[in-house]
Amino acid sequence: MKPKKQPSESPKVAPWQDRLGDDFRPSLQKLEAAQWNPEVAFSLFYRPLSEVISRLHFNSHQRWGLLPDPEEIRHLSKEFLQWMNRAARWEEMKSALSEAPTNAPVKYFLARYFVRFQKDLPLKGEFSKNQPSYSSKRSLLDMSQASDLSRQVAESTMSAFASMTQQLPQKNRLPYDLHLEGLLNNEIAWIINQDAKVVEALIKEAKEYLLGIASGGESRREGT
Amino acid sequence: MKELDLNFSDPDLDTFILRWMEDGISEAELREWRSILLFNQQFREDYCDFIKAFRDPLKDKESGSIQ
Repeated sequence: MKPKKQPSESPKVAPWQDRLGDDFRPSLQKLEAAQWNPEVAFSLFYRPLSEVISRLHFNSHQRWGLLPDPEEIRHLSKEFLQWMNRAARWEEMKSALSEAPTNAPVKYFLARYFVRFQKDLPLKGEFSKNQPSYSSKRSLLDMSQASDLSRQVAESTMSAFASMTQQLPQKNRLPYDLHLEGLLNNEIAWIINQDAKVVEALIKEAKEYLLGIASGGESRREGT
Repeated sequence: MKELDLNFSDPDLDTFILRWMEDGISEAELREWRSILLFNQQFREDYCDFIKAFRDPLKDKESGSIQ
């Protein structure tokens, strides 16, 4: 994609950007001065990395109120930093950072590279993301916790619900899908570049529309 | 304009998001972005998870129920 400077009304700050923490460019410079050294990299980036790993790799732990094992985080941090070095991704990240806007903290890049690192990881244990995809409706039920029987029942429910949401007008469908994914209104607003109040109204409309479809079905059943 | 062909783990997504942060994107790109989110289910799920992973835990309590 060619860089294109076209000013628009797009907000400059992502809803999660202010939670990415400090700018770690000074740490990068220190690392540059010390040449690449896994131990130095670990000491400089362990704090932001441990947050990234806790949130991205151990997301399921958080959902169940569990704390990930600090040793596992340390181990993953070291593995990640070695992976970065092996595939020359460190150089790639530094180059991307040099072109990035100043409001893009290094932690954002660490998180994005960690996502790629995860793809190379073998799936491990019950907390791995090895569950099948259930579209946006997965947030309605936690499919990973369902038994085989309840999973089958849930799948039918999900399919029925999915076919209903597909009947939504396109302008309402995306905000509603994102809403079902569990995003907050301000996050949806940023992602689709709409005002948060507009997003709220579109979701409300979608719910009313679906209610209309559902009660239409009820009426038909009652009529027969 | 070249069509947006974004894969969640692809560096192109970084470039796109950073460009959006810095300069904004065109209306055409915005339409394509919405279309990707609407029709590419796996991308939408991965992207939403990525954003939620950075959410302040307090916000989860404030977000209310998901219908």
